Amino acid sequence: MAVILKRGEIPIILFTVVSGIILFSYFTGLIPEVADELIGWSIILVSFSYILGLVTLLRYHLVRIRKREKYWPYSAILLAFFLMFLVSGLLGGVGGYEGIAVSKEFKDFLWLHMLAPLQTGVLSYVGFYMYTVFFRGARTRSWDIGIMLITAILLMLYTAPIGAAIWPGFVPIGAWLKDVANSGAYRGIMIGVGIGLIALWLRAVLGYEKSYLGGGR
Amino acid sequence: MHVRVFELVTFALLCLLIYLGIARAKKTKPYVRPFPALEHIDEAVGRAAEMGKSVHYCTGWGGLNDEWAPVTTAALAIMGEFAKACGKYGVPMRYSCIRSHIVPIAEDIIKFGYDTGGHPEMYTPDMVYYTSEEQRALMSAMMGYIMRERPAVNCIFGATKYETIHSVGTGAIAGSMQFAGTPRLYYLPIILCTCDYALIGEEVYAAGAVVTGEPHQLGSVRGVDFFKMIIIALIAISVILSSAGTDWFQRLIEFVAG
Repeated sequence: MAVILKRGEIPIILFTVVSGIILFSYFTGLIPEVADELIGWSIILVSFSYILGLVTLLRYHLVRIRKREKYWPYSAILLAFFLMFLVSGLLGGVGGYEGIAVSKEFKDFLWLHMLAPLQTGVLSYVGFYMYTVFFRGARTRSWDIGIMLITAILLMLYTAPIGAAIWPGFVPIGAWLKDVANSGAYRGIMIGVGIGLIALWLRAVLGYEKSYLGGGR
Repeated sequence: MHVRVFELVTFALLCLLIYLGIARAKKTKPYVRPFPALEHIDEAVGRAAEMGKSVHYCTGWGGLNDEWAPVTTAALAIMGEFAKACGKYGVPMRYSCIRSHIVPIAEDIIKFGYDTGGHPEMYTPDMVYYTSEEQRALMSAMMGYIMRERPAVNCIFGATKYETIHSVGTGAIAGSMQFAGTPRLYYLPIILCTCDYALIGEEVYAAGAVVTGEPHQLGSVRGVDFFKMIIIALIAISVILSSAGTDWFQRLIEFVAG
């Protein structure tokens, strides 16, 4: 039995049957409840993998601490905060209820006043980097990248109020780039993406594409 | 009950053309335009070996349980090629992973790469670093790793979101040679600006087939090209007829599409 389950054909058959049912439901409108049920299964199955992730995370950091590897104090800090958040999540208050061993105020302090600002801080890097990318990292090696950089500058001047104040001509140029050139290229690429997606699905069904099964299959 | 006839016919036609492309490839190996991003994997990993530094890889936010599963699959295929090159040149690799269900698959792919490359002793399970399911954790982990270790090669392929900017942005500051590709168009400008080699849109899906070099995989890419030619022809006819002042072709398409 174990030998049969380890055969490479089993996951390919499962993939083909499940994706086939979902596609059949999409195209015909029949058996939508079966398709929804299968999609629900995937969510449940993936939930079990969180345990695997937890074990992987703990193993990685515990080994680093035990071997006193480079930057091991970071691993110790991570594990300490991991335990703190785990305990506050499990035993902290929810809604109007007080927690069992951790007060709701302490839980709110951890989640709202500690984690949320840190997350916002990490995310704010996006805005900062987007505006400074041209000076910090742009690698203009070819004329087409140069065209893209000029286009980006024109669009920035179109979007920013100062652009129209410098020269009103930036407004129609920016609008044309956004509505005509950008929309046309976007649609073209999206058609290609959709076709490529179907091709990859067919390769997986025919058993040629096996990356999702791991290496050496 | 709503039957999507037009979509079904289009889907069937595309599948047929891809199948014909594969069948034809079994007789003669088709030519597929080389992708610079794939052609330079060996060169980049060789540079990492000379510098004594690592290769960092990430497949971004997407997993195998969502609508981004196909592109994650393609990104894992590309990762397999990087792992083989790392195994060949004896370069350590690090994969930052945000999806716990990808962890065993990635471990298997990297282990197989080191086995195939000739340095199986170099593989360790901690090459796959699971950061939790939280996107900000992935961003922080990648930025921290790239700035501390300064990998010679930094790659991000797949269904990537904001973490693209964090990865390639930090990689540019760290001076890494960068490879990236995503079908998510919001992040293409930043990729094109900061990366040495990029895959745009559908190229990521095709790359998963091209890296194998197998005729039937290349045949599927040719099948896709046939279908694209049909679409281009339809667009050209539509543009010519619309410019000539007639809209019967447009009405025909609208009628067929329901």
